[in-house]
Amino acid sequence: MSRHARGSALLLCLAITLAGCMTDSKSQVLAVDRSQVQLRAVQTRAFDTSDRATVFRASIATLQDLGFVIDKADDTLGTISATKLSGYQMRITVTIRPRGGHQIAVRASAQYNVEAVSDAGPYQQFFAALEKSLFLTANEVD
Amino acid sequence: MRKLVAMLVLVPAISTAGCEQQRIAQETSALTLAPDIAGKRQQQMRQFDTNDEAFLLSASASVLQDLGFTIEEASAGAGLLMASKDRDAVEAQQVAGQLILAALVAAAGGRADPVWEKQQKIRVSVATRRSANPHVMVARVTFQRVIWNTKDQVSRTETIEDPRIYQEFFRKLSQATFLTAHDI
Repeated sequence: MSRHARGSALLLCLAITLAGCMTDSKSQVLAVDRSQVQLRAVQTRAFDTSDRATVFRASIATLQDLGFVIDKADDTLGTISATKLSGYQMRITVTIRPRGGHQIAVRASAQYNVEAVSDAGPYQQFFAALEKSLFLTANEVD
Repeated sequence: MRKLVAMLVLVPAISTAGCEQQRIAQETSALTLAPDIAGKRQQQMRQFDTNDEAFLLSASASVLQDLGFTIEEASAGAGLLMASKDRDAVEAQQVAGQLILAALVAAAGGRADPVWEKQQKIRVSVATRRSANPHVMVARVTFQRVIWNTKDQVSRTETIEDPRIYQEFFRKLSQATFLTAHDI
């Protein structure tokens, strides 16, 4: 194979590989990195309390501890959205809902610049901080 | 040839894996409590001898207005105000530095393209909550900003940590409420 043909073949391979990546950026609208069940497990913890208001206010305080500016919060729906700027942009939404009669479920979902945060590690850190603020243990849910 | 193809496949694969690891580490650190959290709290929080949360929030809103902020979100039920303002970010020193650099590059025969910071959006949230003492409310404020350069690119995103800015905010809030702002 001549050098020229070799080069063309390589370029072709590369183009084909790239073509396989993303054909339509609209597909991002409903795209997820992990299965829904896995993601929920990673993002959700249950606290043994029925005091929703306390969990709600503690979540705001925890986000502020982590350096977030709270963009929006609605105590009726139990939703909080916040942004952290520190050389990067992280956006997070935290929802607080009753779970059964004796537990409150907290779910956090974050994006880091233009990527969804779907790894377990970052969420573990968030819930560890929330545990400290609530003096309650964060139970994993299934 | 085979080696070359293998390298072409392997190198991006390794570097992608490296990027992924680094990204997860950064995401994790973004959600991890800083070791100096007590100092930060002290800077951003004050206690006020009142049990009237709505009063403290509306006084905070008037301070933010005094400072030229536009209130974007206000929720009495959540104890929250969020506000922002867009302002000039040009610093004479930076412009002078860029212009001198450009002159030097041009003198050396290069093509200079001076860029400096032009505009900023300052964002602030004030969250109030009841302390353990029912007659005391806690207010906590956080400032951050995004800066764009003369090419309209984001040049900096940061949390504002200058203690004087927080002291001044609470001094104004103290005046607006006719209450003393106690350190935590």
